[in-house]
Amino acid sequence: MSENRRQVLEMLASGRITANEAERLLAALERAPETLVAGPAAEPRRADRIKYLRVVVDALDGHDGPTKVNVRVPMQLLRAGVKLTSIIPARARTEVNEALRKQGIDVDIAKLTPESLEDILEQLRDLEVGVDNERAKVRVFCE
Amino acid sequence: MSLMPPLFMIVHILPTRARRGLRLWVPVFLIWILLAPFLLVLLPVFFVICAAIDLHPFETLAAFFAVLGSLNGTHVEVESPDAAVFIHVY
Repeated sequence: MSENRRQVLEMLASGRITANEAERLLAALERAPETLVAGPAAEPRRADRIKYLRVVVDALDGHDGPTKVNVRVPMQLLRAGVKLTSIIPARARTEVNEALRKQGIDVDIAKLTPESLEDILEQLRDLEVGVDNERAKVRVFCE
Repeated sequence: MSLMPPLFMIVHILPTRARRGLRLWVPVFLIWILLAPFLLVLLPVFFVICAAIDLHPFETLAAFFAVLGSLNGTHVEVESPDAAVFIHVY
């Protein structure tokens, strides 16, 4: 089993993603294995084409009427955010890792590199989170 | 990754029954120019603080400017019956 498939299944097992999202991620991994292993020299990385993270909320807020929120965050801001993790002092890094572990996220932020972020972004390209009920509709996706 | 900080920002508040609308072009680059002398004065203080809390000052500055330079293209739009606000960073 490849490392990517194992990560997706672990995320599903820990409840961080739904079965539908896991299915999409696995399908994306099957569709593009060449892109993932070929590297930047063979083809421009797919994550390069992702420019923004979009969050769209459409809520029916009581009797006043609908509330719409549309936020577009540049992906380069996420990349810059990774740089911020490198300046966190070692002592604080341990505390952050510990706090994340308590929330069920077993990630060592010291190991978060721009390369690993690119891998995550590639997976995000095919990920769309949608929450839909009678009071609100939320969509999170990349474009 | 661009190291160019945001130069302009548009803040658009749509008119409602209660108040008039507002469309502002905020020349953010002027703010940087105005802040530059203060930042120079505060630089030694920044280095002292970095030393005190065990931060690498140049890496911290680089990360700060990387975040600042990544803000271009940010778009926030909130629309409700009471107010509607659009913010776009160039």
